[in-house]
Amino acid sequence: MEARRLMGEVKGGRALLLAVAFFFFCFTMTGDGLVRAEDSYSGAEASWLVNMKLFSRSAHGALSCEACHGLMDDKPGGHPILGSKMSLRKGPTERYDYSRCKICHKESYAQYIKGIHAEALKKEKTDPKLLNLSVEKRAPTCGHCHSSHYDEGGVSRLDAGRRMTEVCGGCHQDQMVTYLNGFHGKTAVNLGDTSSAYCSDCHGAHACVSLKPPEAALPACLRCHPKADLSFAKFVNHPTAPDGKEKVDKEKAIRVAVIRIVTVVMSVIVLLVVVFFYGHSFLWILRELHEKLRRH
Amino acid sequence: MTGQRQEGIVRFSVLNRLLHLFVMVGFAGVAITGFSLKFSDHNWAQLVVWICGGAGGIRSFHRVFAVLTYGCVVVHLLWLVYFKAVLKGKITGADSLFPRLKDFRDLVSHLTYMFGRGRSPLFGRFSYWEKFDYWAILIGMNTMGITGLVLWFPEFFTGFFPGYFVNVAQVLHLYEAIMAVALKFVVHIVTTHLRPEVFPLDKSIFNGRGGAERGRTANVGLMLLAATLLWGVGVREAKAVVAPLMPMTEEGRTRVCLECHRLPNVSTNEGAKSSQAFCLECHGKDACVREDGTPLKVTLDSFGKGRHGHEACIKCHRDVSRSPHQSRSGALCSMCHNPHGEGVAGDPHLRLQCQACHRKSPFIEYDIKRDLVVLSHKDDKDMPLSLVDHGLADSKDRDICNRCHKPGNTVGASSAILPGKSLLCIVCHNAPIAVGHWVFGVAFLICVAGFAGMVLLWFRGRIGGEEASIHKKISVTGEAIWQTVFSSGFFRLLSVFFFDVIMQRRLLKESVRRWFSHALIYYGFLGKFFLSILSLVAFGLFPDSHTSIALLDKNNWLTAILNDLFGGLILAGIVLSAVQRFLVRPAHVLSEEQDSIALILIGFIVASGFILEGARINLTGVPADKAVYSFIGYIVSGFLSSIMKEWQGAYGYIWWAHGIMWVIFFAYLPFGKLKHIVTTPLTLLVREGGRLERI
Repeated sequence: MEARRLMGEVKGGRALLLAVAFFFFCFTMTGDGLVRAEDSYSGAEASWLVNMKLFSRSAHGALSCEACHGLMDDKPGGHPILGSKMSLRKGPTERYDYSRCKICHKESYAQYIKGIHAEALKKEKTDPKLLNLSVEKRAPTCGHCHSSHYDEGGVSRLDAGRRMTEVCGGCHQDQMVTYLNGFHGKTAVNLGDTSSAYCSDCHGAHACVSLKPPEAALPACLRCHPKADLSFAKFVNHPTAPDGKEKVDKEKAIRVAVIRIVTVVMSVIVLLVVVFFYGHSFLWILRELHEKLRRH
Repeated sequence: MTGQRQEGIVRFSVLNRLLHLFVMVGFAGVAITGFSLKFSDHNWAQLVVWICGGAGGIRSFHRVFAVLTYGCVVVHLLWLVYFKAVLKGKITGADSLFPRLKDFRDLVSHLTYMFGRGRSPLFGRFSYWEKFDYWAILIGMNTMGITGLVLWFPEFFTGFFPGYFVNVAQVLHLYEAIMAVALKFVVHIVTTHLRPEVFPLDKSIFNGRGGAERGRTANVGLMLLAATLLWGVGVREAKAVVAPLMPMTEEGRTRVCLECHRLPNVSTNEGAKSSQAFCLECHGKDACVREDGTPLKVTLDSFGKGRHGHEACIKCHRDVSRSPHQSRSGALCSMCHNPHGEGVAGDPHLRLQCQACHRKSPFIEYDIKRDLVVLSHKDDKDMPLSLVDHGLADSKDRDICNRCHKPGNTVGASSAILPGKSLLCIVCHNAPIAVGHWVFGVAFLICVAGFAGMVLLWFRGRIGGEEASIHKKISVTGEAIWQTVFSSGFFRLLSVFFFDVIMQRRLLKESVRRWFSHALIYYGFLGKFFLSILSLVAFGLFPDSHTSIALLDKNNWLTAILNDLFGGLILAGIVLSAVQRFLVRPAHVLSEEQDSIALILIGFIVASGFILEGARINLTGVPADKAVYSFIGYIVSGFLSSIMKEWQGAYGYIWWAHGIMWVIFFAYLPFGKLKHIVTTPLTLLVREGGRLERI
């Protein structure tokens, strides 16, 4: 009898040790690990100084400086004069003439010109109201998304997709969040399932078209879901809060509202049921323990 | 006596037992794989996905488990039809799982029993919680099944519904899953298996009635785990290796460009010097001035002599070598230096830029955009200020503190310079192993002296009736402790420690209400103590990790919630005990003077702590969306700001009131009722040790 009791207590100790081990396991498995902050990649891109180690590995690593930058002599548009105020004002993405990219990247350039970003750029140049936009709000050109010095060539679909999520998400933050919360983002970005969809699979790589009306979205859906129809395309991929500045898309607003109401109702139900039954179990155990201890 | 039924009755048929087994496996599988998909950005989820062989694998597993689970529901429903139609059985009635009015009456009387009034009701064949369990899983499984099918075959279902119904199905699927896991994994297992009356396992679902039986399920489970692990390893693809590209051509002007534009390796001396030279090309000239005329000239004479004279400029000013020529991050000290915690400067200083204290310039300002106290580019007369002097200030100089801690400052600091927290504060707050102020040291000495006196008192007894010297007694005690610790008796002590000290078994035996009010205070303190020890260890080992900083940061959402929760528990316990002691006054409670002193003291300490937190929120202007996580402090701050606008002067006094009360508490600890915190666990352990010796 005594031996059995002792065994039981040894087991209790082991359970305690297991619980402690489990706690530490959980602590080490949580998302933000105990690591130092890494240097940021995008910070390096804008610098005057070129990291030759990374550059030689990049897609453009075999090119000489003047292949893209020209001769940079004293002519206007050449090398800025050292110490002059104007040389420090304009960022590289504004200074550089990105139409030079089309010398090699013809197809991408043609796509870009057709797309929504080029349209915005055109508007920016003609509309005097948009002249003094801050750097973050300008229409993107090649350099906003691509790092011409450091982007590697021949990256896998997965790496390109993950980087794309960051780059597009830099401006389209709500869309990135909703994408990563959805099935496409979770499987494609988090789990590395390359048969799932990245940004450009639906919106196009350089054209970057809006897919708000279901009619526009349907061809994109059909790439992977061959039986999709117009009703299928009414699925909301980015259930973002309606943006006041944009034209309010009434139909989408209704759809998003329905989704939100269901979410709120469900979370209230879950909370009430769980809280009630947890309290119920806790009190019950207390009472039974008390009675059990009394009997001994 | 609850939930007790006659032994020997067949409660579950073979089919039901089999279904339970399948649902158990299927549900666990479906939950693990499903939540791994949901939380796929977490490491643990990616581990599960890796074991299952990637995204495709986990999807298949999820669907297989789902079909298994839902198949059981279908089988069950078919059986019900067969039972009713062919066997002519009864589906409704007292003996069935059909809900009746009696169940609601049972629920009410069971709840009153739990609150200690009345007896537990007698349940029928199925009690109300078992019926809830059954209906919850039946309805839940159908919701999960239908929404799951919609998500599995969206093309098919959007033939009948518009596409955003798939979104709705996603929402329902997620929340139903959360509820199912929260109820089945916890409430079902606890109420049917882990309750003290049935612990450790209600075997009736596995063998139909009672009695022991050992299956081979463990081995099957292990084999399954091994098989999936092997499969996961096999399926995992090898990582692609990036081949190096062609080397750089160094002909023509390219070499000329690179004379300036090559990023130097700032880890080497040569690189540091070349980086300095690049910047000094402009910044070494007198002509280098800002538009408002502020000189920006840096000379190697002044900079080179400083502590950082041999570092590259871009090592600290990392994002400055670009057009437009501006820095968003400022000079980053934390790339090389660790932020310091409570040890040198308190955690409110987490919202200070390092330079605010460590640079010589005495002018600082609050940058509301970054929520950071930074060096100002203007002096007190609003004239532009040059910050090119790279010398460091002497951090022991109290004048540095006076930059902020003066009456009428604009950065939200208290007007008094308060000492750092001391070791005494570690019971509730993260604190260093240090003496912040001599008052704390004195209290600590009194406390130690008090306990030493107590120990000496214990050693004045006789051993076996004979007078022995102190040395002899200590050696005998040491021997006894050694013998106990290095024997199987250690586990006995461990169990006494766990059940009697941590779980407070003896108090629960006396009364649920007493246990509850004591547990509120006890677990509140225990939680705060655990949190502060955790942050001390975490900060000691990983001073620059996000987790440690989050633990130090009072405005971090999790730290704020936990701190307020534990503090709130203590306060609730104090209020509950005070009501019991002073208002209800049951005959059996002997209200001792010492008890009341302890109660009132702790109550005032916690209350002043919350007032302090409210004042801090007002003072530092924590934005409401952040401050709301300190849910009690946030409410208090609302009250405080309606009383008085300016709390800079008062904060120091409240701080000292809180501190002094704690000092009194600590010094009083070995002398009053409060010594039970130390003596009761010790007595329990010693008594158990003595019992062991006799065996």
